Amino acid sequence: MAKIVARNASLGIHDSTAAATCRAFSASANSITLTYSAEAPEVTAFGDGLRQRLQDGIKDWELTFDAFFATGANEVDATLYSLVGASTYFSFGPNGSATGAILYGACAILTNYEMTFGVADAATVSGTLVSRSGSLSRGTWPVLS
Amino acid sequence: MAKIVARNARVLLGGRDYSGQANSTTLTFSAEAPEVTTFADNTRARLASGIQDVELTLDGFFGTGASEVDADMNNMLAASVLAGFYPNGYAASRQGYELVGIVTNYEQTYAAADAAAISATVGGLSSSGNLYVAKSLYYGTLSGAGASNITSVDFSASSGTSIGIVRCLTLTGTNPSFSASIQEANNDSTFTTIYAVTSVSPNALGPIIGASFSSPLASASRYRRVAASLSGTSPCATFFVASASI
Repeated sequence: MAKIVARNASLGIHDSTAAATCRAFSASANSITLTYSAEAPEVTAFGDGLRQRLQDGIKDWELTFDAFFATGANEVDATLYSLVGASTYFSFGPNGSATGAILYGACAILTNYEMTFGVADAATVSGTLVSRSGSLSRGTWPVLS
Repeated sequence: MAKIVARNARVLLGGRDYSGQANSTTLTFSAEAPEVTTFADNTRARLASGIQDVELTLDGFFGTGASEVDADMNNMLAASVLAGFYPNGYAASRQGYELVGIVTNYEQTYAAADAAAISATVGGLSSSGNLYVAKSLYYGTLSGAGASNITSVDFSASSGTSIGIVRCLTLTGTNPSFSASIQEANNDSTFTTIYAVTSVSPNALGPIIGASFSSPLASASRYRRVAASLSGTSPCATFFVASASI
């Protein structure tokens, strides 16, 4: 059974520049949740004792992440601040980004960027990416040239 | 009171056994109770016999293999699946639950100091489904060509519409073929077949969720048993058979 530690997870988010450069967040992030869901339209009718639902409903996904606030030009704050409400693309590797490792990716919109500053803590951020168009793809990391 | 430890619980989706990848399962069976409280009532009043619902949630560890949880859940999302939950394991006579549901949620969680984790939800029931109370007839592995009759189980307490469930979890060998039937008898001696799955090949297992079959049973005698057969060269099958009723 290939269970994995989470510490090797890899996350990259394309910034809002014209070149849409992929910014690596792995060294800033410490928690990621990817939720993949599907509607199951209810068709319960009179006479049914149990709720009835249809399969093949609309699918959706959401990726949330927590990270440490960073002030550099191409780091967390600058990248995410300019992305709120904008289209982007993410690459997420649950077990890292080595060639052949699992890769999730999709066209996304950053809908939430939250900064938290506790007097005794490191400054942190969290963000939420939601589906913009197309499907959530699952493949493997290609050979990097 | 026979309290049980939860560590022996078993959970199966389709023809795949996720017990080795899961560490928490919750089965919720609920019912609407429409409120009819009026001015004259001192306490809330509700109606019985509302619509019922069922949900099975599964927490476990992310697994990267071709036949493990991540690949499976991505393919099963939004699909109808036969889900089985056996709180005290699936040894013969153990009680469990079976439902035909829809995989409506698959969530992966990665925290820096933890093992990568997943959770999944099998929600509701696809059309004409029910939540069945099941009893395991057999879980195990048979190898070598030939036929076997497995010790019967007493179903005297069962009632209502019954279904038979056969899950072929693995099947190996050269040109292997697996067949299994559920047989019944009132005297625990003269058995007749009431549900049969025949000539399952590895191709029929499919790459994603193995093979699972369920069908209403023809009748409901007191004793039921499994008769299984394997053919081919050095065949070996791990399978699970249960009978369930509403």
